[in-house]
Amino acid sequence: MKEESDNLENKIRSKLYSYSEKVPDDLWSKIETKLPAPENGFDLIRSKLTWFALADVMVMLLLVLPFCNTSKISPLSPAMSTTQTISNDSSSLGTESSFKQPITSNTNSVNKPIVTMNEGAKEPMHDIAKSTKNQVTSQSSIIPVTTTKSKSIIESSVSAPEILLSSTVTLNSTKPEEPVLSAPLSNATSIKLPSVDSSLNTSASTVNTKQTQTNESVADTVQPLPTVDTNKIKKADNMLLATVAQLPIEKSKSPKLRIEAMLGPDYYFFKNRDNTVPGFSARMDSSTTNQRAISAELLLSYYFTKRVYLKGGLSWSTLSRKYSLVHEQEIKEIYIDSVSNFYSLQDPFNLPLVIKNYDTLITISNTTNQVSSNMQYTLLDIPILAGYDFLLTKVRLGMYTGIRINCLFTKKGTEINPKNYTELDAEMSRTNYKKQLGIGYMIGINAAYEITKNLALTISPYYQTYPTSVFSSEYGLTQNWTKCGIHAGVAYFIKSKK
Amino acid sequence: MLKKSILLLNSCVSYSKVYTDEELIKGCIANDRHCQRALFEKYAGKMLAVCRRYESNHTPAEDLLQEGFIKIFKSISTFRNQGAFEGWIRRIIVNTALSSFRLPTAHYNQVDISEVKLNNAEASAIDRLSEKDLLQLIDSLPDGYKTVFNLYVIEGYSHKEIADLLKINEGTSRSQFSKAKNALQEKLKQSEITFA
Repeated sequence: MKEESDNLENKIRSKLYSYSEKVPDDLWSKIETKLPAPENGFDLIRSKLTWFALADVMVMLLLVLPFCNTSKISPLSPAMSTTQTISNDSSSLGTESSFKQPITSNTNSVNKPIVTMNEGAKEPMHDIAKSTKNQVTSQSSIIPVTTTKSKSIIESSVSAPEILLSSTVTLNSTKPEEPVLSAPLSNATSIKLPSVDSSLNTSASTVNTKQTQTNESVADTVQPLPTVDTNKIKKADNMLLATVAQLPIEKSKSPKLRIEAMLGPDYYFFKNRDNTVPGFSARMDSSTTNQRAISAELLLSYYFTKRVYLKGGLSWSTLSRKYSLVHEQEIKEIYIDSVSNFYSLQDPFNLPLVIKNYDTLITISNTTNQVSSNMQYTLLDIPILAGYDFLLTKVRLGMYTGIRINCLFTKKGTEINPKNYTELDAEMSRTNYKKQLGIGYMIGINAAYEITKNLALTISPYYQTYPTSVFSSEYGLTQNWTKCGIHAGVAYFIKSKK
Repeated sequence: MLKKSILLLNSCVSYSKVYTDEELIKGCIANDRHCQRALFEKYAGKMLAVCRRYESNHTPAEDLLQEGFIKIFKSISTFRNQGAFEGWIRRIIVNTALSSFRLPTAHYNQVDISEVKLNNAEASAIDRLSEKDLLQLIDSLPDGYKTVFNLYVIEGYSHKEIADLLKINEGTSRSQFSKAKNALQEKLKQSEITFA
């Protein structure tokens, strides 16, 4: 009979256990509105994977960027500047020729002689003038031959014979005795030539060389000029180049060491890890309030190049926080309920049961409790970082990344014991020191404003995390800590002597 | 760790994919909406049927399901992997349903437990009944009987567990179950007559 009954129960169970009903379509949307907001972009940024990837990119950049430094300019190639003006006396050419005309050169003309302005041709300008019966004008009114139309011809990179060589060299000087060559060689360098051979005066003319078979309208406007002695121009070119080559290019002193003292507030993020939840107790919510954190750093940077450096030092930080835990706890109590016993005893079929459980009638009460802890931590970090600086006029803007060896130095206060959700006195002992060591990583940016040659004000926002949890306590309440902060301070540069 | 992260990312790209319970749990712990929805879609139908069995006049089954799933998502990080995930979900849903109505102890009056005799005719009647009809039969039982019967027969709780859940003693649970079976037997007999 018992088997038959079990069989029936099994039949009902097998029929109904997996029975499924159609769920209303709008039910999910109702649930969704009551769920905590999903991870937003900020959380995504905080994810370790993203930051590891960014750190990798940083390291790669640090390796690659030093080889991409374009600020080094050979003194032999002043023509890198896209626009140059050469002035000299033009009095012999006429009274109206005293303005300057820029030499427009294509950027591809790097490392070509200063007067070689045509894009495709290998010969210098005056060679072309010689070989192609170019017309040299001495009238300044002719100089704006660089018309829109002719420019377009140059920009379209036509082949050498067809080039309208519109570049104009105007040698112009108000003082024939001390002609000045003004040639902006690079972004920050301006060179003044001490003197140029006076033969330039005699040979100076406005050279407007062109070779065009397609632009007849422009050609019509050009008046024929007496042929200029191209040898003299060539000679002047050579002298110019020789003089420029001998000019010293001023190099700013690169720093060798940088000592920084910084101080600033921090903000910590706490992520609960796998917590032990015994029995039916469940953690409902947790929060951290009254967070007060500050850190101070003393850092030393060694510059391998003008921009790349390795940074190390010591960082001290302190954190006070109140941690609250709201949890649901099922408390089991053992008591004797006389009323229940009375009823049970009236039931002759339950008599054995009553005897069996006479002393162990169990009831369960659900309670929601809140416990909190007030802790104060002191941490010591040893950062080992690599950085790269972008140099602006008075500001060094840099990025850095690296690891931090972290040590939880002291710990005081009351901690929550998740085994029974009670407060627990926590005082770090020496045996815990080893456990609290961990390696984290960080990434940050740094801006240094130079107030003197050696002294700078610095500010540095950063993000730091600990992939290896340094707070894995023996109480089972484990958290991953991350922090961000902004530090400000002073930096002293010790620069190299050269 | 990288491998795990990639797996997690891959697993949560779309909820149209068939997830394993492990993937769903990881995704839900990470508060990933796709995984949460996938979990809901996977189990909502069955859990709605559970709620239907325990729904009261005050709380419709849909509301119980909604409340239960919110609890599941909030406490999914406490799942220990020590049993079936579906069993864990079912337990939460049942607890939610039971907490929505706590019957006074008077509803669980104890009666004599005489072994209920079920014959083959009743067993065949169960076979012929559809799930919906069977549910209607059980639903027509008084609340006290119905609850104990559902917990014992369908959810598989022991009488001790039922007693803990309902804050009654074990004997009461047994007697309630006995009465529920008697009542169900009567109803099955009636349905047998109908079938005949």
